[in-house]
Amino acid sequence: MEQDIELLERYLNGDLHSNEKEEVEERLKSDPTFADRMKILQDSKAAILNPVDDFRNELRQVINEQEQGALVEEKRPFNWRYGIAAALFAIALTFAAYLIMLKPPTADALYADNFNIPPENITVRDQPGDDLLSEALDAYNQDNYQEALGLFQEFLQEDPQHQGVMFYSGICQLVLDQNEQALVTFQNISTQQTGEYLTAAQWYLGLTYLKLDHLDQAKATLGDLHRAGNGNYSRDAGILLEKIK
Amino acid sequence: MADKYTDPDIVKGIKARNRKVLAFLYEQYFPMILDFTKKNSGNEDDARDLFQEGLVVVFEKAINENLELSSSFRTYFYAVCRNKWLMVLRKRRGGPQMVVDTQQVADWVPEAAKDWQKHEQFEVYRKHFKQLSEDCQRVLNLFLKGHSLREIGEVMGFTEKYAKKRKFTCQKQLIIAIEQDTLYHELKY
Repeated sequence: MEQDIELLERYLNGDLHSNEKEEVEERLKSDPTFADRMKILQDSKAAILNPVDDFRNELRQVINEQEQGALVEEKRPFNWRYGIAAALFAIALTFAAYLIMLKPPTADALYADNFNIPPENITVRDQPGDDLLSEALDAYNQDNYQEALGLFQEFLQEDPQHQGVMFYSGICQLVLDQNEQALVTFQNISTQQTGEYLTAAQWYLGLTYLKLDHLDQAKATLGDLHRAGNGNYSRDAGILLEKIK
Repeated sequence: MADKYTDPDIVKGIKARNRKVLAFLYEQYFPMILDFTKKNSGNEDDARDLFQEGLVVVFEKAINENLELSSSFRTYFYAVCRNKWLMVLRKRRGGPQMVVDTQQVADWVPEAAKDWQKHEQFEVYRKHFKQLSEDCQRVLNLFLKGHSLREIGEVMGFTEKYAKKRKFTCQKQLIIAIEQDTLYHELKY
């Protein structure tokens, strides 16, 4: 089986010579076990690396919150015979709701509440490399973040300081849960001191820290952004900071 | 975002794990799933699980490929949950099952069946991956994330040659476990 695995991996990576490739393709048609193995190798990456458990946990949390909220809001018909009991029950429910509200939201919840995928607004000019950039932006606009990221990174090899492309690479990395890489990307933009995407990058840097549960760094970054005091990101940073505290 | 989301906003929001969108979905679609489940021998807990797993299917589809809906999100989501519930009933009772539809499924939604099936197959992969030794899980995880055998060796404290051997052994164990799973064969698409 080791030989099969090695052969199939080379096939999937496009590392086979044309005659070897043809042999594999013939075998894929005639040998169902071999074909199954290829499917397993092909799909296992997505199956194993997809953050499905994280999504499930977040969703469960949202469902619980919604149901607790509904319980508090549920209106009960007034019955004078049980007036006192009903009043006590209402007080208890209100108190429970108050306790729920007092419970600070988790970093994950705050991240999810504040993260939105920004629409791209890079101007493509008639310059070398712009075909690649157009292709990358098309992929981004079609939500193909994996493909967009690959193309952005290819573009950055030629123009490593392009702030807009760095910024949208960081967004793709966040969407794809490549959080450590996103952190480096947004940090790199922040070192550029000026530029159209600097403020937005600071906001997403703060969110990345939040996603990684690095609360002190998140507070520091959002604090700087808030103190800079201009625009929506600065205002949102102030609101988010209050919630982190 | 606005209070009401369009279908593309919903797909984007699920993909980005946006809690506001998820809360909106619960408000909009949970009653539909609850109604369906109750009319098909389920209870409220079943409905909650079904709603959750239905959205996991949508999430997995949205992050792996482009989710392009040929119907409304409501119809697609209902069809995904309907498929999942048929599977639950088959497991509980054995044999093929029928359900009472509570929504008009005027057009068959073929991608819903396919997406659900693929997700279930991925669940089989994940189940067997989680049953591998911790060591194997780490090796495969590093390999799938694109690390070279040399890097895997460095992280795990192996030589490169042993990392390669270990990777093959772990892949072999995973493939054998999946191949021996009857559900995997039932779900082949």
